[in-house]
Formats: sequence, C-alpha cells, structure tokens
Amino acid sequence: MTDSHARISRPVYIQTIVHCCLPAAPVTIVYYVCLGHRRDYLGHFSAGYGGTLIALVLAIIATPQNRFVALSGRLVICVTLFCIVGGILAEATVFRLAIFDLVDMCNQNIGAVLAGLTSIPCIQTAKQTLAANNQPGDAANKPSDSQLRSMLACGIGFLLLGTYFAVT
Amino acid sequence: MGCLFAMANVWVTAGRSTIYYSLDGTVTAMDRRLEKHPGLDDVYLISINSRAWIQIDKGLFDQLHIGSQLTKERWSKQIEVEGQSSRLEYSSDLVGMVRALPLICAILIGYGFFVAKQSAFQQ
Repeated sequence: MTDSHARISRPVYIQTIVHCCLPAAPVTIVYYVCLGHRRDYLGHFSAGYGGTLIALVLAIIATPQNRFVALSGRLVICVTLFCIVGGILAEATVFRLAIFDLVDMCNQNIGAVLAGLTSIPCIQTAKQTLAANNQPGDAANKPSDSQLRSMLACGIGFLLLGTYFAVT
Repeated sequence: MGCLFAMANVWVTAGRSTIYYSLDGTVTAMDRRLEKHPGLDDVYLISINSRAWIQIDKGLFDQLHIGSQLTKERWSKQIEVEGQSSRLEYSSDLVGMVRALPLICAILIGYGFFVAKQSAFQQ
C-alpha cells in the first residue's frame, strides 16, 4: 500500500460507512417509531438492505477491473433487481411460514432499492479517491479494499440487525 | 420503485381491514396460521362461499364463526354479521403504515435526488 493510500484509508473508510448508514438510519427510525409494535417489518427492511449491500460488494469484487467503469451503473441495477427477485423467491419458499406475506416482501424490497441507491455514492467516492491519487495502476476506478470492507461490514451489520428484529 | 413498494404495503394492510372489499355471503372456512411471533403476527384467513382465502384483521376474525352471514358494502366501515351491525376499525398496522408511507417516500425520493445531483455534478 502506498503512502497516499495509507493517508486516505481512514477517511474513505469512515466516509463509506457514513454513506452506507446515512439513508438507512432515518428509514430504520421511521419503522421503529411508526411500526414499533411490528419489529419484524423493520427486520425485513434491514435484512433486505444488508443482503443487497453484501450482494453488491460481491458483484463489485467479481467484476473485472478493466470493465468496472463501463459496467458499474448496470451492475448496481442488475444486482438490485436480482436481490428483489431473490427476496421474493425466498419469501415464497423458505420463509413462507403461514402465507406468502406481501408486506414482508415489500419491506425487504424497500431495503433492496435503498441499498442500490446507497452503493452509487460509494462507487463515486472510489472514483474521486483514485482520481485524486492519480495512480495509473488504479485507472480502473474500482472501490478500494478498504471501501469494500466498509460496505461489507455495514451489509453484515444490517443483515444481523434484520435477523434479530425479524426473529426475536 | 421503493415508493411503489411502500404504497403496496399500505394497500395490502388496508385490504386486511376489509374496508375496501364488498362482502356478501357465508363464512365457509376459517384458519388462524402462526408466523414467527405467535400472538403478534398471526395470519387470520376466512373463505366466503368457498372462494379463495381472504386475510383479515384479528378484530373481525374474532366476531366470526363458520356459518356466519356477512354483508358489507365496498368502502363502508359498517359490516353486518348475522344481521348485527358493527363498525370496522383500522388496524394499528394500517395506521402505522399510513404514517410511515410519506416519510419513507420522502427519504427515498430525497436521497435519490441527492445521488442524481451528485452524479451529474461529477460528470
């Protein structure tokens, strides 16, 4: 890791966590305040958000560096849609306890859509950071490991929070 | 898209109050199914004239038994069960969803604009 990477590492790490938590925190509060008696609704939202963030990180890792700039926009849309469909299938099969609950599915998908939106500033922060570093080797503009780790940590955090609220 | 899901939440929850349904017939089957939190998120289902299950709120389910005669006009809060009129109430789920809907939509739209503006600024 170069000196410039070491210098920017911490702010980018914090910035990514802020980007990941900023939109989800007010929605979490809205669910808690308005629907506090049904914490499973908050759980489904949070799990949808966390699960989609994790899927986005995995998709970013799997995307070849030289094609990332061209693919990043479509990647976010495709992964978000994939998670929406995956959430619907999961709700219709493994999580179908009494009936296929449309409300649970909608809450999950609100989280998935918000996670898709959230990933856009994270990707843009990567572009800004790498442009600022002006390193030829980083011309692919892929988020750094530090950013991906931050996004992954937020995703796992929200998924665990969602599981806690949905199950307990 | 997120706003559509939030609106669908309200619509589905409102459907469970049966207020926007027109009901006329005999309850031929009733079922209470348990979810993850028994007593809190149980699913109450009825079938009228052997048609498809309708999910309803607990308040109405408790008034019914198999063979109950139901009459209700669409969008009316008055329901007649065995000739006795009673008033349907909005469930706490629906009240919560109606309060949450504009706030969630405002956050989604506001954040969407923020992201779009930021993208435009950087390009």
